[in-house]
Amino acid sequence: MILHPGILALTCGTALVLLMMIYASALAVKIVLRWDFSSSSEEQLVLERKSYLVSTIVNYALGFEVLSLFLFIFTLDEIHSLFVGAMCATGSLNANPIGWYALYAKIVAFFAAALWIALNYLDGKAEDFPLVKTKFRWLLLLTPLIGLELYLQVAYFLGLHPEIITSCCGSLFSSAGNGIAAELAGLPAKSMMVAFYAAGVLFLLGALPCLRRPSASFRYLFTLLAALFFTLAIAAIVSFISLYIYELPTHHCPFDIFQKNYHFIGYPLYLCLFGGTLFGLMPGLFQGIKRIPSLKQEMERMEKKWVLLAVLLISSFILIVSWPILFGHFKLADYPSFIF
Amino acid sequence: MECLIQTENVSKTYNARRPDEFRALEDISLRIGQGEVVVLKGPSGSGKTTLLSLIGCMSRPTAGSILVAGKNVAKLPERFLTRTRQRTFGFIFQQFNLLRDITVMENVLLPLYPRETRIGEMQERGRTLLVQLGIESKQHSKVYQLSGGEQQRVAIARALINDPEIVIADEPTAHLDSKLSVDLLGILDNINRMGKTILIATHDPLVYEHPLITRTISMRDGRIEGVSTP
Repeated sequence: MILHPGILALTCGTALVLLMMIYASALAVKIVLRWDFSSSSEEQLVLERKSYLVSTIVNYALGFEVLSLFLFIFTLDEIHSLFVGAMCATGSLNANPIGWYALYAKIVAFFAAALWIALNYLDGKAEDFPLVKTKFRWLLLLTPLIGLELYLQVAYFLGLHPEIITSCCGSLFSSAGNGIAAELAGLPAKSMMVAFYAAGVLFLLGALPCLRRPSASFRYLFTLLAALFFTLAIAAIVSFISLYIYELPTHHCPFDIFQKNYHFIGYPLYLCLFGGTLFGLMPGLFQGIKRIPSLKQEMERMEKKWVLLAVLLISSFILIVSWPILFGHFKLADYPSFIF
Repeated sequence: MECLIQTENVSKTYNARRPDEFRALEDISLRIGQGEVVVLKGPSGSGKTTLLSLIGCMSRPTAGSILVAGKNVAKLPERFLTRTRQRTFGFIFQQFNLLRDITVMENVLLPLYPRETRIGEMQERGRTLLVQLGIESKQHSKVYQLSGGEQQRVAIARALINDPEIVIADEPTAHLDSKLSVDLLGILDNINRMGKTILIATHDPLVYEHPLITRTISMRDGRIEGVSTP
């Protein structure tokens, strides 16, 4: 294993998170089987107090999981110089076959951990622990996911050797290549641009009825639009946004933007996209919680905050990616005139 | 009389399932009505202070329920428990528990700070209480400059500043001579006339034989031994 501080921090951090999750899972099993809020028995009171303590521990552990996605990318970018042929995090990911799976696991863990934190936050807003069973059931599902993530991460890091010759982003994200990356890079820029901005406008318009009316349908639609926008935004970054940021007509890499040459623009860009999507997903996913009387009022208040945060972050994302398109020196040959 | 406090089968065990396990309270069930002045009496170690601290939301029972104004505080999550403690109870401690190096007024206003009350309103409420308790002239004095009786009055003012429904006093006369104890009982009588419910833990006959007391609950070894009404 390469003893890079980022690799050590990720390995030790995720291992600690997993240990905490395993400890919490033991309590989760007891809660799922024996929780009875109407009882004032000694066992129930012990469960209530322990659930509060364990939830707090898990909350911080999963907070690390959320942030570790960005630490993972930062580390991959840092170590790329060790591998022949690598020019950014893509080269590091290509250094062995597990790299991409580790990244996918971290993305899934990012959303799952963040949603659990939100669930825990809501549970703490009521006096009667209304979500305790739900959140501990989810915790039982999260533990194997964190285990899988740690396994993939460790297997990936153990498989990294400085003598590896890897392929750079130029060959992976090339319209002439094979695979999903190549297909994304080969998408027509003009159509993608129209689809991306249309999805962005739809998403932002979808927020308006959510802020004005309490209807569940609008929230489900908003969540769907958030998922659609996220998918299109990732495709758009590879397809055309990267071209404008790099000012190169054939460079589609979604990772070079984390580098100093591009003012680390990748961090705010992906933070806004991932954060905005997360807050966009919440109103629809948590709609069922509104049926709980002790949380109904709090949910209505929180939903508005989530929608506003999603709008703010996605708008920031659109502004960041539109800046080089509108004001940069680079112009695509087949550039649509309405954008000027 | 409307029931304000109700405990059902409340137990409190310290160091549970350890060799030094100690059952401080066992199966305590009682009802206290609004406006009552109830004394918990018994020898040291009988569980008076433990029961007061459970009712006052300062600690949690091992089993059983404690309803305060209809809400089961034994099951409240910590942050809601803190809120209930802040808004429902006023505490008068045996040792006064005042901060020695700040002024009388600052001590009295302490419980209001977490509630984000306007400073002007806070001071007005503090001044009114100090006038009622006859120590207005001491408002700018440091606590260490006061006599024992004056310190007790500051502690009472601090207990009342949140306008609590229930006042809890743990051995309030322990550090007072008999004259000051009689004065204190007079103050507690006035507080009761304001509609407050008062719970006192004591083994001082001067307190539990006072006509102000509506009920005396005798405790021994963590259990209720008997209840008497004067």
